[in-house]
Amino acid sequence: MNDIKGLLSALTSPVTVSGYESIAEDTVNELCRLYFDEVINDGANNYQLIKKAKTKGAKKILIDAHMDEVGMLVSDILDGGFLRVTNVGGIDCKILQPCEVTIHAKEDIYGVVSATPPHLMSKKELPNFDELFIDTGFKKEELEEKGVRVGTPISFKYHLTELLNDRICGKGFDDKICICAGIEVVKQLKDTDCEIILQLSSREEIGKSAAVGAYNTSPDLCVVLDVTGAEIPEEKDTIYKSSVMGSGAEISVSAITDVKLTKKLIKFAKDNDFPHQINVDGTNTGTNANDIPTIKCGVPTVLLSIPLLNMHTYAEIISLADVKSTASLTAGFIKSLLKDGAI
Amino acid sequence: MNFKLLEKLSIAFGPSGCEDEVADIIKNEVGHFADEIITDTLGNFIVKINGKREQKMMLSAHMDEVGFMVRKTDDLGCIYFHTVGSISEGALCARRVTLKGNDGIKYKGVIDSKAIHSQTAKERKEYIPTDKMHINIGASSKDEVDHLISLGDFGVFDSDFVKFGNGFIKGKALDDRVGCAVMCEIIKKIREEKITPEYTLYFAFTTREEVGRSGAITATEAVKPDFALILECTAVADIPETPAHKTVSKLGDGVALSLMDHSTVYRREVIEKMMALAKNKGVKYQIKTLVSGGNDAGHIHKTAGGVRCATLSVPSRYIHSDCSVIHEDDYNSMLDFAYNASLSKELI
Repeated sequence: MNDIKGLLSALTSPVTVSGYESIAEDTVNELCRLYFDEVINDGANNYQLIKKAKTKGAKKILIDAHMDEVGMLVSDILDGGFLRVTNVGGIDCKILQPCEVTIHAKEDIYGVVSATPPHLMSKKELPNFDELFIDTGFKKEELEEKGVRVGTPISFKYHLTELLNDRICGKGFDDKICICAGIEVVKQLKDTDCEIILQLSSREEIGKSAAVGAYNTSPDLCVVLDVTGAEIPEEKDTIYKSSVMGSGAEISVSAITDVKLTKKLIKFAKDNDFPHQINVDGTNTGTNANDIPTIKCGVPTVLLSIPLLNMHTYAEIISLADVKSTASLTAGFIKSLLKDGAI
Repeated sequence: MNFKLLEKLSIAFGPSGCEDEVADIIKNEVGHFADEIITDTLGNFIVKINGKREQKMMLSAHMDEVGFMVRKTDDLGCIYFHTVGSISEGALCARRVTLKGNDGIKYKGVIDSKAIHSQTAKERKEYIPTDKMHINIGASSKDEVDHLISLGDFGVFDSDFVKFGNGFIKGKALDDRVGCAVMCEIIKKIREEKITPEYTLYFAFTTREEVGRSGAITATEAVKPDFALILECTAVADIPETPAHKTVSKLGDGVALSLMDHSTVYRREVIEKMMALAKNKGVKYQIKTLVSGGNDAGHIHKTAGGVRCATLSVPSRYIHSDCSVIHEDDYNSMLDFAYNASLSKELI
């Protein structure tokens, strides 16, 4: 888990469908052992990894990256070994027919999402989730013996593929790549006197529980790290501007996050030549940064996002250069705020 | 069944028109068993095994698979593509692919398209058209991608070979590497058991079935067979909520014998002979119950003066995708049926 790729692999191989985050508890504990002093698992299933400050009364920084990923749950076990499923989070049915999945029962079971051959389709419409089946190749009784129940989580099959230019492709990078970036920030703040709480938050994809962690820890600053859709040709020259992969973190400007602090962040990035891009989110960031600013008497919050392609699929792509520069920008900004006494 | 061989053939790179890699594997496996090897400009690879009689039986399986062809590159380093053969739009988004670029260097890639977050309400209900998808190999500019990939370069799905459940197999290109693998096994078996077949056998590993079956035409011209047995992989839908009459065949119930498909009406006397052979040898098979699909028989039966044909197909769920699924029992039943056919004295 020493480099980003190794860490990403350790984080994305366990399935953490929203609500089932604690399946990755061993990985979280290992992260704690390597880089932190303490780990808390709160009532909403968020994990807070805490690195204590050197001096009492030092500032508290909360870095939030969510731990959950989109997935599916078994809703019925049919004769012939097919499973009916329901989605957890927004999954595009266009990527499912067919695709490989892993059913997380007592043991991991391989499955393929079924597809009707085009020549047997009466209409060319996308199916609903309740029209899809998972083909396991086992009998119903065998599946039950293996511990498959209604509610058993299912994830996209884990494959990590390396592309050119240090770009990598896999599942669950939304938002585990930001946990990797968060760890990099912690490494870079090793000698800075502040308490760092890296929150691996739960259920971002279905309702968002991250604010609980802000409530429990009362931070002086919160940096939310999430992913953002990277630009594709079809979105070029439209008002829906998206960020270019490989061109650094996207800084979110919105009426939800801290306006002054965000301006400072942009100035800091410019003055110190950090690659960055700006996205105007208006009144909805679509991330945990929506909820954290209003906790208790208010938490100054900024949002940085890493460009990502094919979001919510088993083939999400990110650039490692973006991860590194996002971490360096975040760590540098925190250091400068502490130095200036700005928080 | 020889899993290792089928795996090797399944992961090999062989879209229609670019089957060399598959032909090389087959040549290494069985080339040395041939009494004669026939090749042609379309890339067919034909193994001849002398029989007791001059009469010629051709067994045929196609080496090509559905794939991609580079049609345009873009400022962001995206690669637009044509599909080579029929691939439904729903089987493309987010799938992994391999592209063979300049100097034959292979690149891993992924098919990108607009993510669900940025789709309009209308777009969310529809499949994304192929011309709004692109392959991403990680290149960040047009210059970079143009340096590595040329227009017209080929690609295929990137998918591993997995055994799962009770005897099921998932992979790409099982259509029709199962036919190729079965033919290799038959050639080996005949040689290892030192059998001289009744008829002179031609094992035709053909090209371009997915794009018009031109390989089968020239192979048939070269061989001029008296009888042809086509070994294929056919699309079935034995999944829940599909009406029984539309399932085509069922995985695990044996190889499917065709009576009629969209390219051929098989001669009844040939079908009767095939059924009698199966009964006689105790071979497990099923009848393909829906008129669907087509295969090399569609061209073979009307080439070189007309050829009596029969088709045996391994049923496959999710065909023409990166996750085709077959059952090993059906593979074994095709091997059994085709082996017995190749040694029979009654088919011609």
